[in-house]
Amino acid sequence: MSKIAKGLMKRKFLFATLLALTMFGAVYGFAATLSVSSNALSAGNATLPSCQTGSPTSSYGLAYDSTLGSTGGYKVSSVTVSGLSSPCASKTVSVVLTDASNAQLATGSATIPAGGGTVAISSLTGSAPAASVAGVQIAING
Amino acid sequence: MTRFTKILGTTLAVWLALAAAAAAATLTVSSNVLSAGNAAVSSCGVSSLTASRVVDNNGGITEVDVASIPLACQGQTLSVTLADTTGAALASYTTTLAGCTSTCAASFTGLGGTISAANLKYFSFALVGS
Repeated sequence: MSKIAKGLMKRKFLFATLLALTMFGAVYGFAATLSVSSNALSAGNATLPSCQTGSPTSSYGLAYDSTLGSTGGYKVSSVTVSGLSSPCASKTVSVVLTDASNAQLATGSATIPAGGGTVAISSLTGSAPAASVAGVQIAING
Repeated sequence: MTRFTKILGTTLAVWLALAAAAAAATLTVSSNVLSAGNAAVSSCGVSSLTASRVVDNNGGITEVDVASIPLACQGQTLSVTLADTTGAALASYTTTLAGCTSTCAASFTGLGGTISAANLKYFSFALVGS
């Protein structure tokens, strides 16, 4: 075989190798992208940070409601949460009032002001008769 | 630059791009702040309360008294609403329980007799701590 023919063969071999490598890379790349999008399953983990140090305290505002029960009565009209830490500023505090069986009576939320401290939740969804409230759940999210 | 060098360079560039795309598929997860907790809403020991009213000669209510409130309720705010047969409020009063001895008591005086005793059907009570 002539020198020219040998050189040509060597170049063809290298070209074929590079082409194979490129195609493998393409398949690998597409497969890695596809595994997240086509299966609609993505997974990972992260630590849930908390901005609150110490325990916040809740207090209650009452209002008489003539439609409560058969004779009317007092219900919780607002919840004030105090003792909120300053790093929680601008985050949302949510409150759920529950009865003795832990069933939800009323919920509400508000944005924590700059510096934390105290926030009043004056609009509650649901009805929480004062005599029925047995628990309060508070969550800060943001 | 030879043709072979060009092909090699292009191939390497494509391969590196695909490798980067594959690496980007690794999921990065972050989380917002979340804090949560719950607490029992306790009572100061009231199971039931009783009120009495003082009526003037015209049948108007001049005073409402609430007695036998547990001592543990001292410092809390007592709200009382007088309601008619439909539950509609006729008047509401609030006071902070203070000066308790063995039990607490509250008197709402000077009501002026403007509320007819004949219309009063229910007392509603609530106590809330500060």
